[in-house]
Amino acid sequence: MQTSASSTQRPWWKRIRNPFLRTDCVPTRTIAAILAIIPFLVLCGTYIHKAKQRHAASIVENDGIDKEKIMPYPKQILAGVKTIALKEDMRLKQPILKVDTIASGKRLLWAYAYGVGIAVLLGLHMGAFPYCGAMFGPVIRVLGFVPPILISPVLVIAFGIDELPKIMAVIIGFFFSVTLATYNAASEVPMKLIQGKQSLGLSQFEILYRVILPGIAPKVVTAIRESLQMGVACLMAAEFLAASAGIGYRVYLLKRNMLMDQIIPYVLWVALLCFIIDRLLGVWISWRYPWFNKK
Amino acid sequence: MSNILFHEVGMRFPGRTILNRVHLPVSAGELVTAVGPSGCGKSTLLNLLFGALSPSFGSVAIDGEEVSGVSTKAGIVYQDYRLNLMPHATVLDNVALGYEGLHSNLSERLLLLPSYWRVRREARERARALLADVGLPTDAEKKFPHELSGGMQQRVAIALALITEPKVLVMDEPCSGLDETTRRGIQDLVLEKWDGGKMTIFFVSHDLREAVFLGSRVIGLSQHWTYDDGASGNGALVVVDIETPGGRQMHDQRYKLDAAFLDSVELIRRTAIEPNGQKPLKLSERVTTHSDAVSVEPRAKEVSHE
Repeated sequence: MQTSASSTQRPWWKRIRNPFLRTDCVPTRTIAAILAIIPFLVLCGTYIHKAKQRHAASIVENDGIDKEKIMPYPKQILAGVKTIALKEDMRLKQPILKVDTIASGKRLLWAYAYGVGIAVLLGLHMGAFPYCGAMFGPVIRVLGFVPPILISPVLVIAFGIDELPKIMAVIIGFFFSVTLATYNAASEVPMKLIQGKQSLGLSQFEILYRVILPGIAPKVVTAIRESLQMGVACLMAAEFLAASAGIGYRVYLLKRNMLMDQIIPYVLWVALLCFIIDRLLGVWISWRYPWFNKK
Repeated sequence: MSNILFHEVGMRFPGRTILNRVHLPVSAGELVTAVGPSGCGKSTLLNLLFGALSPSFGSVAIDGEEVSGVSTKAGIVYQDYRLNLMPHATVLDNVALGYEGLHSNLSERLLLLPSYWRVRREARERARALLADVGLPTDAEKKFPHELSGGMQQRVAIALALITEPKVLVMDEPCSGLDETTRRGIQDLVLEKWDGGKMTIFFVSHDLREAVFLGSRVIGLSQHWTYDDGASGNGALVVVDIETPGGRQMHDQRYKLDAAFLDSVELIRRTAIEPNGQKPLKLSERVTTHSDAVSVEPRAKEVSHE
């Protein structure tokens, strides 16, 4: 007797008993959303629980006065959000959150605008021209192992406290990984495809920019997407060291006064912005390169 | 004058000789199919003709002109569409690019001169006509290669190879990995384009029956051979070179029981694919029934025995 697929489908709670690499055990969108929320709830719950313990201990230690600053309550954090969103910067007469976000955003944007083009061009030529790859490949790999955050103080010493060291710090943060990703992607373009295009009379220049570069573009954008984390980390480190505005600079100032109720919103704000940029790049890849990863 | 001439071509890779003094003239309008066991050098022969490889010794010429570097005189169709077509371009753009490349120069294309736009318009018109000619529906031109079936992709690849009107069409197992119906369609298309000798086609296949049915001339390569004096050689030779009725549709029932066909298949199987059972083929037994074939027998003293 023939049974329909739906009748043979077991309920999800039975299927997850043995979920390892099971194609019939992929969560639905709703369940995936619920599963994604659980770790956040656990984190928040743990934080609140720990915060309560610390506040209670502080009250006992300080004769009834709550001096706990390291783990503020959520309501204190909300008050901190209000403060940073409304408190005006003395020079610019604008909310400090806006001033800092624009300052950091500009640095990040300039760094990517300058650095990505060079990284992609270098990687593309390294992949397409073996002599270029042999010359620059090893040095890029070696420099890529240097922790970029360690270079930030050197940049400040070398270039002063102007914008340049901060932009350079971000560039160093992502440059090597983007270059190597482009290099690898360009090297993987099948030689036969290139020879096929040569037989059509296309020049090297056109093969580079009409065949190879558009073909590896989604991999390059993915590399940029993945480099964002390191780029932002380097920016924050550079702003910690020498800046007069920016999220890193502000967190550094707030840290001196132990204002965790304002530091936490800043940290969450950076995470949110990075998450949004990451999602936007993901959407861009699926929209602009529908052929990517299709067989 | 031969359209294609492999002149005493040898190919060596580090530690291994692939081809050993292959001398093979191909006349214009022939549909030559090359068969042989895996690793015998069929694809190497094809790459030498296409200019993707340079011979270690000897030379390859198309229309009397030696091939050095990738030749614009040959159009290529590979088995895998990802080697033929750019994944990021639509079918129409893929095919049109070939025409643009040969009919406009780099400066015209970079500066977007009016002459480039004229060539671009022509290229797209010609690509559309060619795509229709190879049997692609009109709505396929805006699709990306991955959106097409394997057979459709091969049709686009053939259109791309033909848009530059090459002297020689080089095909590397274009029917491999396709289902029977699609394979039949591609074989019919190859024969339609060949049309009894309108162009020279060099077709590599691992399917003996396909090779014998399609080819007007079948060459079999083998590395299993010895010289008459008992010394064995290194590198494949053309050990079978036969004329077949050729250009027939493989699935034409009239040829199912054709004795000549069966003989050809058996002959090639015996000599190139499974030479003498366990015993390697002696060069004096080499089969050459093609009237124009030049002897490919190497002179034993001149060939280094490794």
